Amino acid sequence: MTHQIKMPKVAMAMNEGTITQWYKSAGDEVQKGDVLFEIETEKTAYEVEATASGTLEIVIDSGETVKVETVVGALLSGDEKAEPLAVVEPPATDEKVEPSPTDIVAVPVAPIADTIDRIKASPLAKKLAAQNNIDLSQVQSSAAHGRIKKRDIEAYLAARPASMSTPQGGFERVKLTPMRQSVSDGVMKAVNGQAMTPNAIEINMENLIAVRDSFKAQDEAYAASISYQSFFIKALALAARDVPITNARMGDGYIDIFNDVNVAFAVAIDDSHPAFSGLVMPVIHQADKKGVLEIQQELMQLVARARERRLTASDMQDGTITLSSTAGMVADYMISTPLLNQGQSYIGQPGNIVERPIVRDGELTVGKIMSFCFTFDHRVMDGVPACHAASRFKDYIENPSLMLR
Amino acid sequence: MALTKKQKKLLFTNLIRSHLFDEMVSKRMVSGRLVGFYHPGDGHLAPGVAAASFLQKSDYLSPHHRAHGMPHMLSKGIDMKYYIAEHTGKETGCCAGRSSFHFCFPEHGVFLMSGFIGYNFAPVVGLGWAAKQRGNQQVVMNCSGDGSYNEGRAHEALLMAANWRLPVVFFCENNGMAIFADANEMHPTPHISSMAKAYDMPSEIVDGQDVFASAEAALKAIKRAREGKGPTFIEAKTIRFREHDIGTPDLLGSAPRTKKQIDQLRARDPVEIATRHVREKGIFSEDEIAAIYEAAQAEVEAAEKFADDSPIPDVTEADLMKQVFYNGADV
Amino acid sequence: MTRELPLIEAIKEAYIEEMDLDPNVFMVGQDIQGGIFPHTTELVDRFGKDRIVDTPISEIGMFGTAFGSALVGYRPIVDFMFGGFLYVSGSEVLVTLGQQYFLHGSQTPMPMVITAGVGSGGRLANDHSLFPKADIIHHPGLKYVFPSTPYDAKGLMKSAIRDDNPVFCFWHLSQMMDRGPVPEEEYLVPIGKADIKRQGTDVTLVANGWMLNHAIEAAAELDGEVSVEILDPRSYVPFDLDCLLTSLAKTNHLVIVDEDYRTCGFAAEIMALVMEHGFDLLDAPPVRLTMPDMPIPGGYLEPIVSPTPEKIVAAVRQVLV
Repeated sequence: MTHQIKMPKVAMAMNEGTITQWYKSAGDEVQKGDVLFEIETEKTAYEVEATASGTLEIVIDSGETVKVETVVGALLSGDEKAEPLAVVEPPATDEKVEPSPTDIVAVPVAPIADTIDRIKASPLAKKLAAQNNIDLSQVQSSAAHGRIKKRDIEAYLAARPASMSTPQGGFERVKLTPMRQSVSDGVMKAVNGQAMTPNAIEINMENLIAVRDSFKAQDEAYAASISYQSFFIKALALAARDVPITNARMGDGYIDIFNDVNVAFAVAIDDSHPAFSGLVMPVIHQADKKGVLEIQQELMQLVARARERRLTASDMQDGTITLSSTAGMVADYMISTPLLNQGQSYIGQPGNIVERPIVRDGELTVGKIMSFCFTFDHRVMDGVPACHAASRFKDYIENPSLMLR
Repeated sequence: MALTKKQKKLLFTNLIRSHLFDEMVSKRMVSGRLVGFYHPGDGHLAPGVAAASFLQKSDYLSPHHRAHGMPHMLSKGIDMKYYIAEHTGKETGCCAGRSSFHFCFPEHGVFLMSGFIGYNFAPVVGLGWAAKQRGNQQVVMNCSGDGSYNEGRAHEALLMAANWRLPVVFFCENNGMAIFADANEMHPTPHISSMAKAYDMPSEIVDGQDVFASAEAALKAIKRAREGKGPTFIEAKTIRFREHDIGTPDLLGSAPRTKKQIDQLRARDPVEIATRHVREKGIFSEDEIAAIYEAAQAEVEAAEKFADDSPIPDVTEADLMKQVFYNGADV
Repeated sequence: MTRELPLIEAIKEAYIEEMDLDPNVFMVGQDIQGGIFPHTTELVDRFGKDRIVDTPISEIGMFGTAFGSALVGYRPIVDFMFGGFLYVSGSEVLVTLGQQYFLHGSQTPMPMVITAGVGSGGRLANDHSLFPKADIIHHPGLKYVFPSTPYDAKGLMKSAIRDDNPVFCFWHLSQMMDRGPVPEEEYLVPIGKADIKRQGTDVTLVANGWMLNHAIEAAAELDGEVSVEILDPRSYVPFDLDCLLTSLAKTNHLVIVDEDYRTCGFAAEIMALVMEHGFDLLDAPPVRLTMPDMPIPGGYLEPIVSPTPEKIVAAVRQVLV
């Protein structure tokens, strides 16, 4: 049995003590209660008694100063005469306390469950994402807690295509105008949020051209040069009326089928910065119920206001389906893949009217053909109703009298 | 009122027990086998024994930090092994190893200890008030030092106990010293008990080195309280032979107390005084005295063994948090 | 020229220098002539009983001695011995002192220093381990500094004595004998300036007092894995928010170690300040390590509920996840 003798901590202001005198010598037989040695702290001296019996081993000699809890000697009993004890410095702290998981109460013990599907990102990450025009929904968190951190933004930036690096010729960095930002955001949201399925058909414009020409030949007051756009708006509105699922929007577990058909149409305008092109989408409300002339008049007003930047909120809201156009963008025929607008499920985009060889009654002849490209949200509808609507549009354009209702 | 032989025997026995417990705890403190700190009672043991030896179990007792209330508590019949276990940080201690050196024995009417000098005074007002309400003739024995009567609280307690005629005994154990300061320099009058006059409270000065004289005064005061006659102030003049607490130098004012000074003080050792008395008056034979020491030593060793064999509490912070508030159900 | 001094001796030097300089500076406490702690031993021999004043165990009266004399030109240092004892004179210390100057038309500055030994580590249970902080900081009109090294102890104590307002300058019982370099030439540590005790890039670890010792240990343990920057506030009222925000701009991660009860402690205040002024700097929610909301137990239970180097290491790792 080895009984260790340690330097006791006798006073609060005591980190170390000095053995001033051993009253026994190494090898002496000591009885419990014998005075063994005297210690001195900063101000006081104490005699320390043996708390066990045995043969005395001395480790720390008199005159030496050691930290409290240091082993200064030992009392050996029984047959054991162990080797001299080494000087053992006490551990830095009393006990190494392994922190239990509950000790670190820092991270919320029970985070409030997020009922809203929200992207979690640290404030710093959000700031960096905003600065770099990063859509946070595109960024992956690298941690189990799912929160996007700066390192995740950095990883995302590093993985971006090389076009973001500095090319030899340098570049002019133009801050986004509000309009450009708005279009950019809207388009990203649409592309990310909707199952866009682009398609294209061709329409024979012969009959519509004839109707439009006959309008022009009439009294100028009526004619007012009805643009093809107005006919397209009407036709699309009627097609939407015929195939209601195309006049709808997707929600979380539901689809809203709108009661009105409000056709939004694209107007190209100047942006405030010459580097950018501009685009706005005013709306013809209840287009299915309006005559083509009425649509034309509204359209003119809206375009004028658009160009003067005087469109109001009500001009632009509640669009349920969109009629865009690539007419004039290129010189000839074009197939395009229009992008859906947010909150809608269908967009039709007619192109230029061009001359093309067609087959009529088995004979080759020259026809006036227009591409009609349409994109639909496949979450909301499948190919059958989408194409059915496109077919109806085609019917209305190729048989304009059907639009009289 | 004169003490009976039986009463003197009890007082002597309790004094010897107190002496041996005080010595044991002092030694353990010096050899690093105690948690916290210790305020040795050498020389200042008789007042506690006198104050508590004749209390009923149902009486309330508020000891103080001198000898950590052991003379008071063991005289009232409290098993010291639970206090030694507490003082060594074990889970079997009277405060579940949680307090280092606080005592708490609610069954025996001992409720708290605190590091604030004079902590007794606020609670004893309440204990006295409750005792009076219930009309069970319970007594509150409040033991504290000269320094405690410097506190504003002490004066409030005296005022209220006197005003409401509470069954409280204000037992002032005046050993003449704060930590270092001379009590005479800290008080405008030579006797602490003179403040009792201000509250129309009877007072008595006794020799605190004479356990028998002190006990006589205590018994008188206890009887008064039980009879509903209100509080009494007893001032026991006693002496502290050692430093205020182990590890602090033994100074008076700013100069160390000399060996000569201590030797002079030790001439009035309470154990010697009591031993002389019981021998001369034929109360105990030499054999009986030896037997008392033996029994006390065995009691001390058993308490140590109980403490040393007991485990340190095995708890987590979460376990402890559950114990901060009482939840109604058995915790 | 610097020499190594224990923290408590560095404080003593501050007292001696300032009392030599200004005869209006005096000390009032209990048993300070004898000197229960080394910072007042033998001062009575040098300055006499009228400048090293022992009072009865009457905290209200003792504090009143300081308060009343400070109103009329004296510059007292009142020593409560153990920090928790100031609560005996609670309303005077927390309310009456802080409101004196402001409420009375800003006419009567109160040049006072309140000092005591505070903090845990001695297994003495709640009353002797109290570290009054949050409640003092919370009460208006009171300045609060806390030195963690001998250098800061002497410098802050001198600044506290020279300040014309009430300044609480406690010291930690478990750091009393810690040794550190102290210049021989006179110097001051300004009130209101924090100190970066260790440069780092990954985490800002705010710690002071005995917790600073733990933080340094934790940072050494993490060396090579995490680069820890340790910020010692030194001053709580006023608090050096700029230093903290500058550090956070670099590290974006914050761990606060505060030896005080959890609820409404200063760690909570730092987190609120960072949310208000440095929200975008945070790359993770801040983490605080404090004492729990329970009376500080003695016995062997104290380390279970206290921040330790191991717990700090775990917290730093956690904030970086």
